[in-house]
Amino acid sequence: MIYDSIKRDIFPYIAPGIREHLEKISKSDCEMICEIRIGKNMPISLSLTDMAVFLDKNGKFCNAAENAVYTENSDFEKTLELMTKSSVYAAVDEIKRGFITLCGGYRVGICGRAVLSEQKISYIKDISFLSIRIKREVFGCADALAKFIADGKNVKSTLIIGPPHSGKTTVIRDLARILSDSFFRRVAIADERGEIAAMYRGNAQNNVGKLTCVMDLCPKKDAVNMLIRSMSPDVIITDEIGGEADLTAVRSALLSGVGIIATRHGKNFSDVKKLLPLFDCAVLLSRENVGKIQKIIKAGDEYV
Amino acid sequence: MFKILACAAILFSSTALGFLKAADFEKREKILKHLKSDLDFIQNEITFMLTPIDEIIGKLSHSDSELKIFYKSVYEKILQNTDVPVSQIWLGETMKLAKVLPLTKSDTDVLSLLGQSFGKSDVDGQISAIKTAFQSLNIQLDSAVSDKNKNSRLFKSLGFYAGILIIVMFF
Repeated sequence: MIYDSIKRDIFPYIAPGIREHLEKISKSDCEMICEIRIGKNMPISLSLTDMAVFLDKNGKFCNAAENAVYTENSDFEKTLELMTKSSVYAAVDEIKRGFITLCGGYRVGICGRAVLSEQKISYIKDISFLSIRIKREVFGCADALAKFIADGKNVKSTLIIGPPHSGKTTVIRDLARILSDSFFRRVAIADERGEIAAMYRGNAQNNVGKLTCVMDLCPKKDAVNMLIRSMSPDVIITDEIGGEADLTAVRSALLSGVGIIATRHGKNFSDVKKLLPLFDCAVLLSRENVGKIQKIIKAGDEYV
Repeated sequence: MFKILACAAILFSSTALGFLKAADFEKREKILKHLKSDLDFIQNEITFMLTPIDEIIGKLSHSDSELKIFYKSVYEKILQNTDVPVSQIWLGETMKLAKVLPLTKSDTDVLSLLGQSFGKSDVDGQISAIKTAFQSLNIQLDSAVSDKNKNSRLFKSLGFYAGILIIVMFF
């Protein structure tokens, strides 16, 4: 139940002044929440599956900001302190990437003022907005896909394509777990954005399998090279390949004989036609249900 | 016979009181020196290891510091109250410190200000806060050494002579 997860894993990180209002949300309403959004001196808002709403003082959803509960500055600061365990300096690597990971694997997006050093972001200060994403692990959503790509001695290199919110990350997370625990493959995850395994103080907060190792917050090119050299993986899983550096990482793995499973934004196979030749097969996900496969094509197959 | 025993008891008690008071000045100096060493430890843990503050306090609670009991108390409260910021717990325990240790309000203010800085900034900001605490602590330590030199022997003697005075007055 989402309500139980939120109460157990998120509420301890929220200041009492904000928490008391969130606790009034009913269990049924909680099931619809995708994000809890808190801003300094702003109304508490919630992202639902297809819209955003405010929260009123009775724990009900409302559309009018004037009826919503506003976040006091002191409560916001306290929440940030709880989320970073009073150690903002220890979370700098994540903060400069725009997020914090909570124990339990919840990702908190942050907004503030970027501090630049040699044209790169070194820190985000004056944090003014937090967006807590409610995670939903969907165990079993990659069952059919795992059977297809792990059929035989090797794991097929696979490109998973889907529009936003089609569950690409959810699928590869479940895929890692199944390939590891059911097919006993050595799985390595190049988790550049920290979204697949959600590492927290060295522990994966999401279930990615008992044979799985994770290279966290490392650029894909370097992560893939290090994993190939030192972890002898059967398959490397990574999220959101895009630029030339990512493609270099993919080619590196393939040249070393290691299968690679990657995701990419796209509505159909044509959107990623330049990448398709690199992979043994490609999978197109549907937006309607998380992990629902629209179509699978093998290398060389024609597609629309 | 009874008179002699009574005089001895009075002299012993008053001298002991004098020595205890003098020991407070020596202990204050020792505690502040240990605190400096603890701040050094905290700074190194943050600078080189980026160790979260709750873990640092946990390590200090197992150290040989004179403030071990304080760190242990803070650490236990952190573990029990996961929804209370560390700075708030630290401040609460600091306020109790002056009741159990021979520290002045200025001494505990250094700890309070340090606690308020926890978790608010990046590494550079946190180290600046620790360095500020160092500077304040040096001032307090100088004052503690000066008080010890001035008052330690005074209270020891005072205790003894107060005992003599009481004996002379009443016997």
